[in-house]
Amino acid sequence: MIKILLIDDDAKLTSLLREYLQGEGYSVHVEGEGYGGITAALSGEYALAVLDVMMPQLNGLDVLRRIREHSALPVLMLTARGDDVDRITGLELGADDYVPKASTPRELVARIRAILRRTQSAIAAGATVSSMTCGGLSMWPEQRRAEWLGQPLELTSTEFSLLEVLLRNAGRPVSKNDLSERALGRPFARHDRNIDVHVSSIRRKLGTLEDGRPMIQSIHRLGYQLLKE
Amino acid sequence: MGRLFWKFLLFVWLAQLVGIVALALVFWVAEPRVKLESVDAGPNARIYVGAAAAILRYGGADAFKAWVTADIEHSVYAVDSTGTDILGRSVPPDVTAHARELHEADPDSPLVAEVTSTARHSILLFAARGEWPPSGSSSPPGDRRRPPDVGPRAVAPLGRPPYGGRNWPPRGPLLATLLVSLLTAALLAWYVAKPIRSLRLAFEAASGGRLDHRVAPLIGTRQDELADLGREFDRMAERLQDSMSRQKRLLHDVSHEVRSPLARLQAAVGLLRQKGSADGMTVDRIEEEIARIDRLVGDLLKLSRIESGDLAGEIDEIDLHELVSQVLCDANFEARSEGRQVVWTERSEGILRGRPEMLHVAFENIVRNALKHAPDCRVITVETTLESEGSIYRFRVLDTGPGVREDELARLFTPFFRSDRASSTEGYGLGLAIARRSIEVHGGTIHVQNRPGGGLAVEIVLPLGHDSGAASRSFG
Repeated sequence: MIKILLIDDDAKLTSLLREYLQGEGYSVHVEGEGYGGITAALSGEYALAVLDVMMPQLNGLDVLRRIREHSALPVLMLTARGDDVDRITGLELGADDYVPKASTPRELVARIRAILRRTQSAIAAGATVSSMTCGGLSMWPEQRRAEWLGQPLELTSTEFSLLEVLLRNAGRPVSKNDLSERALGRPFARHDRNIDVHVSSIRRKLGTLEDGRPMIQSIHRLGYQLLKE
Repeated sequence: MGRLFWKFLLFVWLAQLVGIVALALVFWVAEPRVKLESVDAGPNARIYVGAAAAILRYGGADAFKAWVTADIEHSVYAVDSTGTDILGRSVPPDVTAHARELHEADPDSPLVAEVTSTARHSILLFAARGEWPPSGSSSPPGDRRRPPDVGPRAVAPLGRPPYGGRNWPPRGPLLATLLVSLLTAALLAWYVAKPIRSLRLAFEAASGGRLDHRVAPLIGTRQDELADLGREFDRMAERLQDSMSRQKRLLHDVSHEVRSPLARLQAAVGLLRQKGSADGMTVDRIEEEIARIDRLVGDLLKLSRIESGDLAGEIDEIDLHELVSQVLCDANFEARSEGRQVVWTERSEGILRGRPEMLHVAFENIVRNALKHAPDCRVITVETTLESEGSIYRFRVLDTGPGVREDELARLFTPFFRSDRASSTEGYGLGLAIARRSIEVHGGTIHVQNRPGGGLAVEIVLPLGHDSGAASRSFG
């Protein structure tokens, strides 16, 4: 059974969500505050963490920052509608996706499934190890492993999926809509900065081409393209 | 400097000028005027000078005075060695000098007589007249050795105004007076206008929502009614700011607090649905209403954020053509299901630096507002035009609905304002308020008016050169 970590200070809400998620076939562990959440997240027991941004004491963004220092555990954020800043900051810090807090639990489960599909499929695939290479970048999607010039790249699961889609289409622009559907598992919402934030984060982790250009180019009105050397 | 400054300056200066002129006139009128210009060389003068000399010599000063007072036709002047007339009349030094010169040149000249008084003062007697002698014939007979050009002009050189007459005062003092009065007027005007200007700026800032503007630093240590007014303004702004921020915090807190039970409600409804223990239609309805409340709370937060200048989203180059086509595409998607459509008739390209999400919301709210409030209008028209050589982007949404009462037009953009025509239960009256603030953040304006043939026209005007980012960006 897939284990999900739920970090939220609202005990009434978490008990409802736990029941719902259990009904969907997940095993759920709840942490009511940030420090406990960090410890649990780093224990390696969980496949995914659902993290509330608004918490007293240590807020969700700080929790996320500390988790990301040690782990690439997939994180889904619960944000409040209208708090765009939290949302963008969260994505910049390496959250894989976000759901507005008063969304239906169906929506929440759909997002959880999309993230898990990306990460779990890699683990399940296992055996055949094939690699893709473009310039200094090498990726082993089955192992969810990536290297830049022989050095391992620390990517979150969303970043990995995005880079994988770009690498499979190296030398061709990929629209934001395609990126969203294939890497995030949902259609692109207008003015969704999700993709942009993730891509700029990947850019920072990747090196540049010999002429100093970043390896991922944004193409106006078209999307992004991984440059082939 | 503002208009007040110039008005003040003008009024004060005018008042000073009137005062100066009036005072000058009083002195002018009161002063005895004898128009002395040269030594009289006429034949009568010789007789009078001779007579005067005899009278002074044998009758003394009193007799001379009596004679002079009796005879006003011919004024004979008696000037002592210091250059003053013994009867106290004003005699220009030039005329005296000329007379002395004439006398020295020819002591026997009948035009000038010298009398030695008892006090052993030498008194020069001569007649003077007030007109320019006709040129050429003016030179007294005994004056041949003087160069001809010095003649009468030596008496009253060109450029110096004639003495004693009802004439203009000398130019130097006149200019100085004007300058000083102008200066004092300007100073006074500035002294009054400056604090008023500071106050005006403060009021402008306050009405623009910037309540942190204070007048005190501009006033300094000044102590008067205007300074008090400024300090009073500061106190008022402070209290307003305080209560505004408390109101905003309250709004923010309440919104957040409402969200928690809302999220629980949503989760509980989800459970109901999962267990299949409830009527699906009812659950749909509940979810819909929860989403509605959540949107309202989100809009409230959004508006309060924009109002307080806490802006969301990154600044980016925005392709307005793309943005409008996205908005219209979405709007049409919904409109078509009701058999209606949004038509984009005039299209223009435009690139703007700004916040795409905010602008998108603004455009979308306007289009949706038209769809919502003109339910019988089958075709809603959108026009986008570039004006003023491409520096202004105009976005117009035209419907053929019932329009809005003229007295309600201005209030359409107030939060929670519901016009009479808003008969449907959709919306909370926040959409247009958010749209206006979003447009204003980008330096634009939004207008609404009834169309002549019926219906409403909403118009967004955006300056394309405006940079809605931090000021520092525009310097870079």
